[in-house]
Amino acid sequence: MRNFEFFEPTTVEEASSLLAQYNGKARLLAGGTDLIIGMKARTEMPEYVISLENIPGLDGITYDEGSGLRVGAMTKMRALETDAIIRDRYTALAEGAAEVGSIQIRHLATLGGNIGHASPAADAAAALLVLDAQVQIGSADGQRTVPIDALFTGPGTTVLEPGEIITAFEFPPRPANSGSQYLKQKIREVMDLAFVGVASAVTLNDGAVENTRIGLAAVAPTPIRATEAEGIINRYHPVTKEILEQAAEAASAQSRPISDLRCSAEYRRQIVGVLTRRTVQTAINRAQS
Amino acid sequence: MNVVGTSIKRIDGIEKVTGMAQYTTDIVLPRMIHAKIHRSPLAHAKILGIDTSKAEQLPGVRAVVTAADLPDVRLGILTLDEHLLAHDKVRFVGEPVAAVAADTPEIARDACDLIEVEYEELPALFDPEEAIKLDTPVVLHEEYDEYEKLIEIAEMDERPANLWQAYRIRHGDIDAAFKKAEDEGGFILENRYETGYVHTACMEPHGAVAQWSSDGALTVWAGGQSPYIARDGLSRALNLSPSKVRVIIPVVGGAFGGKLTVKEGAIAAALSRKARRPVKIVLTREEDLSATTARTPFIFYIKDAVGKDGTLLGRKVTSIFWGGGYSGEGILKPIFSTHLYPGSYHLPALWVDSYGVYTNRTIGGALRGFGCAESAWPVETQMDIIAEKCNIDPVELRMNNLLTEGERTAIAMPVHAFSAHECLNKCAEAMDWGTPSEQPGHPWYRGKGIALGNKYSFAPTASSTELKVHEDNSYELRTSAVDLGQGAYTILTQIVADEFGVDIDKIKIVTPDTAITPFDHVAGSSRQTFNTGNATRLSCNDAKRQMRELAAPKLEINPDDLDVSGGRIFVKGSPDRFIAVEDLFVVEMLAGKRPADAEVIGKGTWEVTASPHDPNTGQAEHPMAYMGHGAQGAEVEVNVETGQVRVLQFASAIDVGKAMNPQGVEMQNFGGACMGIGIALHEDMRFDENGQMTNANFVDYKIPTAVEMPLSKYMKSIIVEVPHQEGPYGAKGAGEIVVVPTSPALGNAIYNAVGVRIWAQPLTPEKIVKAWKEKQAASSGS
Repeated sequence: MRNFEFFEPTTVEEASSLLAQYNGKARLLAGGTDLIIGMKARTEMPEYVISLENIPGLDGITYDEGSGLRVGAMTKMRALETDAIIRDRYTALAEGAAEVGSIQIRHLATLGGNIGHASPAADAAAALLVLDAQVQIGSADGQRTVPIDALFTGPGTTVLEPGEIITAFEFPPRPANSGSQYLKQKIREVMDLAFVGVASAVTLNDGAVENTRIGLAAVAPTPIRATEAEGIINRYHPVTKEILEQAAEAASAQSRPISDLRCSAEYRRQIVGVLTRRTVQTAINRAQS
Repeated sequence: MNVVGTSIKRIDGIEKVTGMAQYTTDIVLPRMIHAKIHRSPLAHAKILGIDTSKAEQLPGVRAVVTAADLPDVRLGILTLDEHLLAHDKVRFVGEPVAAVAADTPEIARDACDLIEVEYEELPALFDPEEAIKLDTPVVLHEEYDEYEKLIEIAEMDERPANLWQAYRIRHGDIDAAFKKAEDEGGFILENRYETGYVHTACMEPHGAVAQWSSDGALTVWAGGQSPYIARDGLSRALNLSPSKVRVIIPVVGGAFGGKLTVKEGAIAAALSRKARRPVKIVLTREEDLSATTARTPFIFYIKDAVGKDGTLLGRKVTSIFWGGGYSGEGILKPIFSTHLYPGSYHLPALWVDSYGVYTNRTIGGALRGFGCAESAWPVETQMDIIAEKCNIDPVELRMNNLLTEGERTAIAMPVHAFSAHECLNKCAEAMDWGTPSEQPGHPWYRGKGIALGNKYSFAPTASSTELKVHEDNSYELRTSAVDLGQGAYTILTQIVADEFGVDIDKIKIVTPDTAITPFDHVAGSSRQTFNTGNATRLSCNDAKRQMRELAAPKLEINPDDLDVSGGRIFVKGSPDRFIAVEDLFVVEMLAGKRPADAEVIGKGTWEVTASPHDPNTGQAEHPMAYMGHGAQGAEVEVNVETGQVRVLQFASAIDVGKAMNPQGVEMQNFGGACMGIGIALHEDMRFDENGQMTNANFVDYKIPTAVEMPLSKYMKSIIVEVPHQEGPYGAKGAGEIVVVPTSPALGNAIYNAVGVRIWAQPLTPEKIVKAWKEKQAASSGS
């Protein structure tokens, strides 16, 4: 690891100013589970490291039946995975968080870091897409909100401007008759990266499936929504095996995977179909129960 | 008191789990500095020049070395083809070219980046089947004919320029066997198989600490498998007399064949000599995976002649071992891999051509099961296919073809302590073999598979130990056997305790240090219980002889009438007439204790001779120390939508002759299953088109976790004990046989579940889905 200067600001504004001042040479430190590995491997060589650890208010989960769920950017994956409300109402998020690394890693890794790192394979990203997350962004100049669909611009890149910091994620309230699931395909059952991740969420209205969201990870330059497949599920009632199969094919067609050392594009496309079918079915089952 | 044969706890367990164990990386010496290696970024290139001036000027840098600082000698196991630091050419990505020692590892790394090497890039050769051709334009070693060689290869009309090993077995009339199969209603079964490109992936990466003394003697601490192989390598690389080199092996965090030589130690030593300071080097995980020896693949073409009742009539194998830039330990693999073919089955005809070639990849080295873990893949898959074709149960088919005790195998070796029947029977029983798997329903399909294996332990070889008796009735065993995690020190402790009839806390193991401990060949080839165990019994006997001779005058009896046990030297038949071990020692004037006569130090050397391997016929009556046998079975479930494989149940029945420590054997069975499952299903070193490894980390190089293992209640360890006439207490080794049948057992189980065969390891989900789809398409089309 190369030498670097270390800052521990206590306000978002202070952190933002430092980030803007050393633009391009500074990196934010949240849980450090990506950054520190990169620094050791010298794929990351920041001259300045700005810790978010000492800024009050960035950590924590709050829920209100009226306004919904708020998750601070510094909230640990382990907290998301074990939170009763998230497990019950925002199940895909708990499942996405639970897929990150090992328990030890999840006690360090944060939701803000996972999303800000903007990996196309980020386990929490697909869940955020299907749970309609709004991303709260802070800077020395104030606050703004970006819908999760509009956050990612490419592998490792987002719409964040120099000096901007993700501070929280807000999720609309989810009624009891809603359900969601995240599934991840990998070689090892644990401690592995997704070569395909799929999250689905639905709400039931009088037995009909509405508001279907399907999020795909690791099959395009950014996490994406499978909007064609969502439309198919919303359009037909009841959702039969054939409809699920149609949606699976549509999701598969909308994915834009690459072949890499983990597997081929063809195999990824097949898995997108399988996981779309399974997660939509599970989301419906969960909404019914 | 019998502790041999009981499950005592590992003697090194507490120090390991409490973090007290001292590994190489824990060693810190005064004024010690740190080394990093500058490695080749190219797979094949001429070195035109090396400029180290910028690196040398970096503050904190203490020494930089290149080939110019070293004696111009080539190293190797049997074909000496490799310089410690690249001399005039580089032959794989990651080959060491230069090295830096600096005040911190970070400075050393920065300095490595400042070393400028001018290369003339050459076309690279990656494909072993290209490398073996006579007309391949790319030649890795133009000076091959001039290299010093300690082994003869089979005669060839013309040697392909990149070929460094050729070994043949010629037994019976293979053409007649094929004709017989065709004439008498049998069949010929011919397939191509490949094993995977895998790594030992030890928890402890390679590393070393080197220090020179004022008289020009070198001490190296390194986690290795043999202090004497390391000493000889260091002595040759640095042009030092062997007595000037001392090698100390600290606690080792796994080796599995990957730590036979200590190149890093030699590089650290060269830097240390120049910097005049102790130097430590520890490889990063990326270096460890991408630039040390790997279990590079074999390609097998196998053709079996089979009678209509499933009798093997003959077997023809052509195999190519995918060597890297240098021959390394891989030089022996084309020979030793052939030991599996005649090891279990009666073969009226066996014809083998086994080759090894250079390519521009990492060096092919040892990994648990040396050659046999690879050749079991084609053989035991063929046996499964033959069983299906003949409509015979796979266990029965194997039983029908097994050798019998005393029979000469297809290499003329009489089989002794042949236990394949018992291993196979017990494994099948543990697998509930006759009962088909319960099917959970689409898309999951379950199936069972079984395979047999055998593993030689090489010869010639030797082990020596010394046993010192102390005045407090404690016993110190000096050994150069290395405990790599396999439990060698625990078993040796049990032997000494039994030989002297005392508690195990009376035993101390003095661990490998060439200044103190006598010669032992290597912790490899499952040889330590067998060889070091025998040497230990001999040194115990020698010590007891000395004790009887010391006691005889005091008891006024002939030494032959005395026996030693439980801290007493007593008269045979009259245990009340004795002298305590403590009383063999006298109190000196200055109140120290010394032995009554001389030091009681027993010495024992165990040697196994061998008849030489004839590279043209492979016929050898006694080419190995012993042959171990084992059978493994797996039950898997396969998801045909994703290709995912779960191992539900695993049984491993191995013959160890005598289980010195049954719990240790059980751990070998489980550890072997874990490693074998990883190798068969997941592990795969990947390279880009330039020969650069692309998954040199534990995210993308997938060793299994505990979750990939069956639940412990479905892991079955079965110990078979067919005593070997030369083994200590009848014992044979257990370390390697446990990974030999694993891959074919899993492949056969996958076939049983979903009816597809994957010929090239690893058996990944993607390959399984593809084969399943092709099978569906074929069956719907027909």
